[in-house]
Amino acid sequence: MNPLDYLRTLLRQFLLTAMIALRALRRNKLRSSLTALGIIIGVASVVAMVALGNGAQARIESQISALGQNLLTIFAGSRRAGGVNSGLGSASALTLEDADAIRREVPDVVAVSPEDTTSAQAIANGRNWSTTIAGEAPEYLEITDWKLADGSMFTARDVRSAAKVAIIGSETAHELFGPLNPVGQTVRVKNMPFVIIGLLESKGTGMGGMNQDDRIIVPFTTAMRLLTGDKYLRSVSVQISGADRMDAAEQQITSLLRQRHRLTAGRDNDFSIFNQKQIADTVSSVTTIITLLLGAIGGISLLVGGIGIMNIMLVSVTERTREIGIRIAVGAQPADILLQFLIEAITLSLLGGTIGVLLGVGASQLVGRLTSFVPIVSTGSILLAFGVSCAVGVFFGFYPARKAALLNPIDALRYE
Amino acid sequence: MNNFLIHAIKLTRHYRVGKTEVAALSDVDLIVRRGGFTALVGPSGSGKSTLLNLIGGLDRPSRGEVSVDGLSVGAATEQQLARYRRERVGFIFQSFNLIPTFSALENVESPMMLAEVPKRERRVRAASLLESVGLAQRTQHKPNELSGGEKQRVAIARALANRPLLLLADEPTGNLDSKTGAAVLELLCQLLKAQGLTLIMVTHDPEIAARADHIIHLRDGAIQKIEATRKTEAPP
Repeated sequence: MNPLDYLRTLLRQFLLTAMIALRALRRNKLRSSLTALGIIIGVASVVAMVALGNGAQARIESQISALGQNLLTIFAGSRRAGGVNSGLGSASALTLEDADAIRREVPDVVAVSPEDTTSAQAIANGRNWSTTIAGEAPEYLEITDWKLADGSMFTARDVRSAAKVAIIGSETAHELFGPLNPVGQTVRVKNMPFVIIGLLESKGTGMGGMNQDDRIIVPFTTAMRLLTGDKYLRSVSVQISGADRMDAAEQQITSLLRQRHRLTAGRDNDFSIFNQKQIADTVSSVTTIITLLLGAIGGISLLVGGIGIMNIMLVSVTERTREIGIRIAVGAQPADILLQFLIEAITLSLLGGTIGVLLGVGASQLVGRLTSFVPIVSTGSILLAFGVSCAVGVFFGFYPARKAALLNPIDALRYE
Repeated sequence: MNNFLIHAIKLTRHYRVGKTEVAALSDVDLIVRRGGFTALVGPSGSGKSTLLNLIGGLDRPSRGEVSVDGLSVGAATEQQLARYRRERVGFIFQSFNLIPTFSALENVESPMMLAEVPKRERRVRAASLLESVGLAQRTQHKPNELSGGEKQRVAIARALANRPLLLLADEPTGNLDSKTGAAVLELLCQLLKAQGLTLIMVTHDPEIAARADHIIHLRDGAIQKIEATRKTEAPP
């Protein structure tokens, strides 16, 4: 027989066996469905949980990168003393000279923005709104990768002259001006008029629930001289040339500042550095672990589903002992019997796998709608779930199928 | 080899039941010629079903040998035995043993499915077999929709599906009333003559045995005597 005929015969026999297997499954639909249910739940939970885990991870990563690219922020005061607004007035001081030194002497630094941030009432258009007033340098927009929706950023000359100009965030603009275009309007902060020369694009909620769009940005010199009276900077935002240089740059800035602040070995830093990359990495590894754990839990329920299949197949084999005996008497090979029961098991698991994938995708979409996560269903997890459910069918179906194939026909025929 | 279909030499089968060994068949020597109807009779436990099963390749001997149409059944591999049962033997059982999820037609088709016969050919042959046993009107019925006599006819049609040389029947009329049983027996005898088959039947009904060409009497696992009922040549 030529190979093509052989293949055709093989296929025909396979299809025939499959038909017999499917008929057996249809005979007891309820039982087949309940058995497949274990796999359905297992696969659905793997797909859904991994999708949600991926979605959460992506969400957090985008929040972090929305802060800017390769951002290091140096805060005055050590971490133990608290965050930005601790204002202990200790000798821990970040000066403009420090900022300049960082810009000059640290090779991986691309841009530097000295900062002096406070909060205050902004009054305009007959309304008032308590908001963050951030004193920054013109480089700030570049460092935080933030674009203007309208107008323009203040310049170095504005910084030098401590001009009373401001860029307004979209949320603050909405609160004060409603639908009106704020550019060209005046806003009073601490009783001083500021001309709004630009409107920031919306950035949304950043890390820690901080609304980045609720702020007014002014030249840092203006902030220090006219609004806060600070002699020193509260923070400096620095952009580094590349993600791979972040840790090295952090080291360099640390030793530069320690030197400038004459901190001898053994004394703590009188500043603290927020390394965006480190935080992103930590978050990423945590969410990865969580996603894997969730996936593993789904995997366990898949395993339980497999055991369910094996259980039911064993019962099925026992119930059909007589029928198996008949087939052997009529001339079936052990391989035919094995194949038949194996196909039954695999059909159950593949069917369960398909429904499970659909259910998992649907469930993750539903949860996504109810919470604010956008679930990301990875093709990888779907293929994995499919592959595993197929393997489960083969693995857990094999033992019962083998048992059927090895039945002694005479005993089988006598079975009641 | 020529005229002999079945040749058994010192055929023995014992079982271990708990600690004791039960000899179902001991040292049976037998020759059965081609064609014709041989009955196996004897009290229960005499080994007649065991002998039938051994000839049919459903069981393996503990000692000795039986060869059928040149195939040494005892020494054959599982695959060879499956093929043997598929192509050369047709079984008919007392309790019919039809596959409950298949229709009558599909039951008759089942040996052909295993023999890789293409669908159309299979269908046609199955339909014609059912017709020859008088069940042309019942092809789509499932076994639970058929009477005992009808089920046995389906079983007979199935046994003939792959054109076997040998029919092995184990008390085929045991579950049928006398009238139906007689009809089934008649059918078998007709088919026998028409197709030149060899039939070996286990029975405890002397009336049925009387219709055979030869009667083999078994007792306690051994052959007591072999009777020839017609004017055929006496077996050795």
